[in-house]
Amino acid sequence: MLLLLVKYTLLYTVMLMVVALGGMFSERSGIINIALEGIMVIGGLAGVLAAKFLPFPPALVVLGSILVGGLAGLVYALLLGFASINLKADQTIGGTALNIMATAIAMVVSKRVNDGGAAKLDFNNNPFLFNIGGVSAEAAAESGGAAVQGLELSLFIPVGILLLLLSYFILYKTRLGLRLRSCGEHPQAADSVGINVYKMRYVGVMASGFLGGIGGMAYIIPANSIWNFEQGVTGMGFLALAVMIFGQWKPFRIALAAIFFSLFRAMGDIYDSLPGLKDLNWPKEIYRMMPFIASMVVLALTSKKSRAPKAEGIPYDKGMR
Amino acid sequence: MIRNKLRTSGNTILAALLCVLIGLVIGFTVLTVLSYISKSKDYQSHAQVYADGQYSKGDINKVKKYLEGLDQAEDKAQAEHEKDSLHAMLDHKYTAEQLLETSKALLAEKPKGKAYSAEQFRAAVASVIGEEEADGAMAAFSAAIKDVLLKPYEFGFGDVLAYAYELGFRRVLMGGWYMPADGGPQLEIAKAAPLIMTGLSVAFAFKTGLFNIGAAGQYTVGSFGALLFALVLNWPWYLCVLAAIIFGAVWGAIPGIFKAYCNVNEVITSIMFNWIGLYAVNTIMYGGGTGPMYDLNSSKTWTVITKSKQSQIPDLGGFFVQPASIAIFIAVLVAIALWVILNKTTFGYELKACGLSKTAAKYAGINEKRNIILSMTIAGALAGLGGALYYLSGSPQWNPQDSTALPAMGFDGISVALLASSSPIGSIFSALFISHISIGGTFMEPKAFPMEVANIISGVIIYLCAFMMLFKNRIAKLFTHKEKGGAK
Repeated sequence: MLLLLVKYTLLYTVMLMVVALGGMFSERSGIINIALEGIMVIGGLAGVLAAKFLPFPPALVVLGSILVGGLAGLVYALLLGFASINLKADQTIGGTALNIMATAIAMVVSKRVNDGGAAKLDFNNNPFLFNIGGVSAEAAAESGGAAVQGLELSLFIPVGILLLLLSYFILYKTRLGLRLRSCGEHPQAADSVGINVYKMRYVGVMASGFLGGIGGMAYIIPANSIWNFEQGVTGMGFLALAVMIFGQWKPFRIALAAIFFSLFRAMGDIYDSLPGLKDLNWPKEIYRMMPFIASMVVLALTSKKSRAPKAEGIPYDKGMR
Repeated sequence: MIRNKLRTSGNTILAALLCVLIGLVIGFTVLTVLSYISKSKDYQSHAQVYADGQYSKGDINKVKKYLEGLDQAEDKAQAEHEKDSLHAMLDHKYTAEQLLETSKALLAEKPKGKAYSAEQFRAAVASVIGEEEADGAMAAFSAAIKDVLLKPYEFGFGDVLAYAYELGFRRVLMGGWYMPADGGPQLEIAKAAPLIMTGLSVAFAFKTGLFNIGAAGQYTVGSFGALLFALVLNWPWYLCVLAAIIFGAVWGAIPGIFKAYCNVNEVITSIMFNWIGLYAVNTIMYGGGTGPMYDLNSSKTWTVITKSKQSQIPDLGGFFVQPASIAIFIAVLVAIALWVILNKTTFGYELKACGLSKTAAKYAGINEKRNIILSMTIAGALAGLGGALYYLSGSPQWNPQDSTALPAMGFDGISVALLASSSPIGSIFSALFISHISIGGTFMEPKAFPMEVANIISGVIIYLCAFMMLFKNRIAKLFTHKEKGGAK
């Protein structure tokens, strides 16, 4: 049973962490990215379609669909970048519009794929899964209990760890990272030393789109082999924003925050197989509520001394220097 | 002074109309693409069927009709030519009619509506012309009649546009009036009333510098309040409405308190409490399947009509019959009252001052913490009232087993407020518009056009509104430029 808890916690951790890292890049460059939820939906949709229709061998399908999902998120995030960087629109409103559009687009596309049927897409998620310490569930069943069933994990876990290390490296060890952070703290000063603020903010938004897209896939693909796009990504993008704030806009703290939230979220999936919780006989909605309540408590305690990038949410206008 | 004021509101309206126009153009483009996909899929699937030699009785009849039509055609030379080419393809030994008669005789024995297999057809052909030549005859026959059968499925760009317009876009534009006999207009009005309220909720918060993305949650909790007092306690409708207002207000006050005292952004808090509210409401309403509000037969909550007649908001008769009621008038009155509060009272002035500059308001001696909480409370009350106006109208039912999506009414409220650029009076009209196109969306041909196209349109409109309103004076200039030049 503990294995199950580990499995689900890892599943949600990677998803929340990758998306929150995306949010971090965007906010560190000065753009509030409320659209993470929508970016996840679009990335997940593109990734699922790629996994469903790419005519490649399994290994290439995995690689290809992760790329497609990430790129779809990136392109969608460009819409946010265009509105909030070039046109200086209200970033929260622009992001909200993208969230509303994303679910609508996902439903129209998936209904179209199903010839006007339900907004559900089925796909094969086997290439995305691997087992450690044993064989797969099917193989274990076939062997009649001789082989031990291992812990089934998704390929997004190594991908996520790689992205975490990469994010840390880019943000703190490269010139690009330094420039990006400066645009989020004091864009006027950054501009005065010759940094192109618009370009840096675009880099931040595009990075968040790419990571958000992959995060959307990491939520949709490993859990099940069918997904109903009517539900979008059930508020996970917003939860990732809370993870980012709890992680104080820093990569490794975000990873820890993601583990914390995922434990709560995972409980909602497996409470009926945990001996103590099952006896309580609570409806599953209570467990679904938990990560949200936990995040509210955490936010209330941490927001007073928040280390948010100082210039986030403020459109940069060259004439205002 | 008044003239200036009129001009700025004129500019705002122009900018809003431009957003709507572009939104509709993009919507039509999406419909055109969908129409093309659906037309070409239709063509290809039929081409595949005919290529496999699976003709149905109707298909055979179509070919026969076509040949008969050629016999009676006015242009004899042309008809003969076409007939000849058809026959030529079928070789000289057997005519198209011969094959058609054979296949018809065969089909007469088949159950109705079923296509018959290529093998059966081949056997029939072989019985007429002999085994050796059957394959050749089959191929020739297929090639000859494929064109005739496929012709109706061929399409040009004009057909694509016409399909997108007739079965899609026109129905969106007509909204509820596409089906006036089935109560379409009434449904549209019934849905516009709560939409005005959620729109007002968002708009009011905007005016005071807050973004109330939590209208969906406040609407949810307000609906719960209304249904609780209606279905369980059977109270009269005005008390149920009051309950919904209080429930919504409480749910709105929470993000306000978090914002005022803990410095948590109201957007994040509202979103979290949207989900917390939805899960809580669903849990209580469902009550493990035995809750007093839950109807096992429909697996939704009871309707107010069946369970508690006195809790139903009365209708007016005439045009305003079920599902429309006096709810729309309540919503309009609230909008007017809100306009008065915001523009004609000190209280409204203070709230707006907080929205324009928090520090300046604080300097002027306005209690900004109190105002943030008050604004969010009022915004929550408005959204809660919206829930009551919808669920007390009689037949709507809440589905407590659907915990995956928040009510769309809350998010549509954001579109309403933005399109109205946060004006309470403007919200009335923008709510009517959003309700119009989303009802229209449900009338579209569902196989080709999913109704969510209407949501794409409103999403595009919000996206445009996010920056269009910044340019409204420039946009207005584009339109009035000519006029001014003439006057000079």
